[in-house]
Amino acid sequence: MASNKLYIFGIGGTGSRVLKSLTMLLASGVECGVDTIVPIVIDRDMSNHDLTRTKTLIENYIAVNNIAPKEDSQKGYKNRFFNTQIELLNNELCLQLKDNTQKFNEFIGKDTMSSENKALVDILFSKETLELDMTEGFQGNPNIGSVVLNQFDDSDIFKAFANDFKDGDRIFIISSIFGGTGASGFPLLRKVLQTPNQKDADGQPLANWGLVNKAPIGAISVLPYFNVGAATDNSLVNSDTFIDKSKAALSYYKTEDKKLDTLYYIADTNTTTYEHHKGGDEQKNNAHFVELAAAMSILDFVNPQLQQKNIHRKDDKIESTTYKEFGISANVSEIGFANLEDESQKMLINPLSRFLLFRNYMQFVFEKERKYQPYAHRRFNEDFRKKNSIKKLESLQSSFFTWLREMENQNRRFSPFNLSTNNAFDFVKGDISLITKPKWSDNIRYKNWARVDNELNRQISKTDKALGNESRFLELFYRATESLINFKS
Amino acid sequence: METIYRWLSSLFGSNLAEHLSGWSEVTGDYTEANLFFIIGMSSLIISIAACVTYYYILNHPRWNRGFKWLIFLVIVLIVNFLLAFGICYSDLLAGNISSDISAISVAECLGFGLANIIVSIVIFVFCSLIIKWGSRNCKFSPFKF
Repeated sequence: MASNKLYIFGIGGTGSRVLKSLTMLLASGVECGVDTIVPIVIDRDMSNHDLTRTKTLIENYIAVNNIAPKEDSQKGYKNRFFNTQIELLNNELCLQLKDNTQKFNEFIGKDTMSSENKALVDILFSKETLELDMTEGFQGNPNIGSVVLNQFDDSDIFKAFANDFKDGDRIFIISSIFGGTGASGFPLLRKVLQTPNQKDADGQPLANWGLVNKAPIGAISVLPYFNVGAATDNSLVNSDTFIDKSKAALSYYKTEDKKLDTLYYIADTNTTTYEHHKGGDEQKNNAHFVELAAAMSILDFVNPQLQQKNIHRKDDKIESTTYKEFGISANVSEIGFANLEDESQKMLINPLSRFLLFRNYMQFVFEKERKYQPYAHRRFNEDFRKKNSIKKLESLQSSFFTWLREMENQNRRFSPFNLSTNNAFDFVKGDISLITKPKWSDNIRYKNWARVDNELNRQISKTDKALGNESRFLELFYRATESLINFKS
Repeated sequence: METIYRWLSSLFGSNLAEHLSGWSEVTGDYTEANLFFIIGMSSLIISIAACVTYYYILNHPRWNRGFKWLIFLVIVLIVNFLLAFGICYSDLLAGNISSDISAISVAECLGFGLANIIVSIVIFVFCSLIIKWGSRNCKFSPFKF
């Protein structure tokens, strides 16, 4: 099923954060059943920090992906870091809604309504809702989200999405169920994507719409996994309503049965309470394991070995929706690799451990050792780190570390790594046997980072000399870390 | 081997050179063991063995700095100096030097030890240049080419 694309719509702040986790997983080289991911974020709050962090991350990813040799047994390339391509439509991550009115009552044109309609609007919406500043999202109000988001099919990115869509491509929607943008945007988007003969605002039919209508479609609905503290401003976000909103939305989502191929659910009762921010630059939630698990649902959906489980269709019609949930083996407050089931271990342990080893080497060893080690001789000199793609690689590695650190600092901690060590091989907590046992002679001679340098010096001769320096660098580090860390379930 | 040492005979004098060449007062010819050859071959073997140890047995990513190569060189020089000086000096102490060779002093023995240091430097550097390419971790130590 390779050589096709997965279009991922990330709606709202949760959509951005799950896309961030997915980008981290792809950077570390997890298996992905498609060779290109096309992320599209739908969020009216364009300034929220979660979105800007994800945007920067994806831009860095794309820059590094451009120089990464892709795994290819014929060419002898083994690299899986940044193996999956991420492509942006019109070079934009966000689907810009054309309307940019600030207040909800301006959006619905209350001032120009007849007095009867005004009275009806006043019954349907509270005064606070009508006065809500929507530039910072819908602040937990799916009722206004469902009105405002109805226009996204007229955006340039949505048209580009339709133009770009090919037979065999798939669609995935990420949304939260307990907020405003995600809860309202998900059913709306699903409906638009499956409406036949969809036209743009000019009345022109959207290209390839027949292919979009019948494309395999999956979604994850993220249930409450965090709370927010009491509001210190005029914010309408209130975490006391998260559960009630989720229940209401879930009862509505019953109507989505047989309209999606696979619907994933995830939640966490052990919630962290974040500072209250209604949106904007201050909305910066720390990464959470739930977002990582949600990103894994995307990989599950495109896993070619799970297609028969995930998709039940006859003549392009969905016969039944597959419902999936994510669970850990025990209700522990600190999740390590041992708490994950075999499938998740197999997906995560090697890529995350190898990429962290790569990051740690760059952080603690590279600058000192590049002057001496044969692998770096005349290739990775002092100017090497100033190259744009390498700067972006290191920036992404730094974000990767921060992402791990943030997941470790939640109430439900995801903490498979010892992030405070400077040593090469004690960074994986628990069962150390995943580190490949070296030959006894190597074990005696090479300790700590010297073993990594020895492996780099061994692997450099196996890399293709025709590759550019930056590409060869990635190939080299993938080979070395693969040789040093090889967990077999 | 003798020719090489003869180039450096100004350091240890012609009298010691005669002794090292195997001069025998009994036969009036060079019939004794040629110590130039024995000391030269020993120094060669020691230098090559040290080189092989550095580049292939130790072959360590933390020993590929120039000064660590220098540590190996210094060890080789000390061993080879002691070898050359020791053999001459023990002959001197034991009275094994032919009476028809003019008196040899400790200074001349030290001079030969110095000459062996020079020979050993050449051997170690030359050997390093030849065999370093096959070393995984030390191929650019100490030469950056």
